[in-house]
Amino acid sequence: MEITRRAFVETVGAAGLAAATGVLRARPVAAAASLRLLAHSSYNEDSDKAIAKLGQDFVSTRGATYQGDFIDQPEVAAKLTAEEQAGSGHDIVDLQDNLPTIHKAFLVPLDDVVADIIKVHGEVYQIAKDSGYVDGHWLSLPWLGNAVQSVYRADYFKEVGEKAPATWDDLLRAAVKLKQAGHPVGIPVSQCEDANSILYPLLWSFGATVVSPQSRISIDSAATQKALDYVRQLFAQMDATVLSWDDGGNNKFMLSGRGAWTINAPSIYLSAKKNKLSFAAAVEQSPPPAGPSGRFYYADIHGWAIFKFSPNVDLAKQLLRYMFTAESQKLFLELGQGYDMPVLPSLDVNPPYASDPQLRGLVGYMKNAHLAAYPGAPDARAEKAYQTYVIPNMFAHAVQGASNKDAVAFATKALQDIGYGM
Amino acid sequence: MVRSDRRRAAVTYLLAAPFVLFALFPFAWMLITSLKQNRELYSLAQNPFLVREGITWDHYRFLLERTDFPLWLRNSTIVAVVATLVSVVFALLAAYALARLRFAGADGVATGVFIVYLVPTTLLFIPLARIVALLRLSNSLWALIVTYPAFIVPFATWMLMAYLTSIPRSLEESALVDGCTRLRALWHIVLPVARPGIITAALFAFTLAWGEFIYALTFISTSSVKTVTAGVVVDLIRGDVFYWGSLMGGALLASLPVVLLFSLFLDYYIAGLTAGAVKG
Repeated sequence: MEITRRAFVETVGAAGLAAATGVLRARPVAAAASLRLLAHSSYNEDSDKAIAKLGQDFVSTRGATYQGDFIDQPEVAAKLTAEEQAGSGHDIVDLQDNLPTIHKAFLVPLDDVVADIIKVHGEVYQIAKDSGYVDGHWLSLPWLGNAVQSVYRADYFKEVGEKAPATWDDLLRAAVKLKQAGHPVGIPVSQCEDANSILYPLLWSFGATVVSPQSRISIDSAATQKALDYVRQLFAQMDATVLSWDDGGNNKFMLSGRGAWTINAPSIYLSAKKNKLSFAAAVEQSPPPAGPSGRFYYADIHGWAIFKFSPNVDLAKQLLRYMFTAESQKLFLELGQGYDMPVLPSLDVNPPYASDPQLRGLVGYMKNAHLAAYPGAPDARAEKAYQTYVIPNMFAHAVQGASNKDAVAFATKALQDIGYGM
Repeated sequence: MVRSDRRRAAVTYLLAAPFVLFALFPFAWMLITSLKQNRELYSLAQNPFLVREGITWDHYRFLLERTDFPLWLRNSTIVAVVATLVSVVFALLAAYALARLRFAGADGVATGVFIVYLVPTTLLFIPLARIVALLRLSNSLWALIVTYPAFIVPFATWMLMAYLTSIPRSLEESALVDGCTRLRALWHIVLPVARPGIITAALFAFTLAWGEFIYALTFISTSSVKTVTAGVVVDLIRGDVFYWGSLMGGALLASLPVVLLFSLFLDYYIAGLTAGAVKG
């Protein structure tokens, strides 16, 4: 049968139009509600499994289905943006630190859920509130915190006649000896989250701040100059490769057996144990060093938020409440192994990981910890400064030859571009 | 005579050797890394080109048994094959029209195709996410099958246009004079002659579809539906821990299909790239 050009074009055109208007699409039969959750993939696979189990257990009695998707943290931003613009995607998403301020227009207020949880467990830590409470509403329900501590090789320190550094001066003194012994210290001075988590509290411990409590730029200070001078001295005792480390860089550095000290979440300590490395018993943890203005603690907070476009808002809120039952929290903290910590003081009294002497220091950590915004307002500008690595870049400029004046000028300009005023 | 042939061959191989080493280096690196035990991988005293502490298959076992890697490979194959077929068909029709037919606005259309070809795919993932959501294709392979032609078709069209232009018009004109329709001339005359060009375009289209990352990451969330590019990166990096052995093993295995395809169609590939290089 000969097909004419006209018949071909008419048929294809009609089919295309039908497909575009959905005529060809079969009407879906009413399906059970499906809850979809998006989270970052934890270092500890069991943490993800705990969330998956909680979700499955919850829906099993409610005639719904659950799908939990876990992706690498750096990829979360692209995913969130795509789903917001598409108006479609996951019901519940994992938002870190001050991300709720960036995505606030798309999030459902969770005041009722948080109120119910607080009624049972008491108030959350202030750092958790700094993350989830935005413009008078709870836009994310704080779920866990990730702390950072000094991680060091006790055997190397003993070899050079030193103990775990209590202050940054202790560290510098030990660093000189450790470098000569072939086991340098290392912190990333690069564009990664670890660099933020180390350099922000370092600044604070020298009495410097990025912004004031009124969120005006305050980076240009004598205290910042002292911090820059210090890091320059410390950099001279480190491998130059710290300028290119990603979040796994200091892990590799310590797990290779060469590194003597860094600051990190418990993943280094836990990996050494898990992989049964020969020196695992010598890996210890201690609080981060104190500076002239004291010791400051940094933590990341992850919270659950619900997108406004979700067709299952009520069901999602019920799941969030379910995740904070005593049994759910017990399961999560047990499987978290100390990498993930509670945001509620009432659950931080004797968490499961406290039996490990190397992790006991994490108990109550969140009480004194701050987000990168400290002491300014935990707003979108602070999150942008964090995401664009303003502070690590400032220190990187300084250690690569820039003067204090130029390094501070760079940071000031970057903060002004983000929206901070002088 | 024989000695000079041998000398010529030796010079040729010597000149080619550095390029071959350069090309094979990443594969060698991936293979060696994927066979090393973790403690050797972490050791800074290790030689990256030697396995000193015993070969381990644990990374491949982890990849094949504890992740969805086989599913990722399957998904990538489905998406790449279908997207390539669809794209090459559209591109061939477009290229033929632009290379052979005279119609109003032809130059503008050709320029438009070229400009679209230059748009980075990263700029398109947000508007395409809206389209994917509108068509209710999110979190399915169809999301990729429908969106990949957006960047493959312009590329393949441009490539095929150049190839079709090099085919003498007299071949078709003879057929048209004998009463053949345009479509039949395309099917019976142009396609057989253009086979090397079409295969070359298909190879490049397949490679683009196989290696695409940002759309695969943003349009698909569920592990079992991911393609190999997104799956290997997303599922083998947990927090600040990189599963280097499995990452390298996954990257190596994922590159083999493309290598195999290019090897099988090498003659067509060379013919397709060099068409028109020799006058007459």
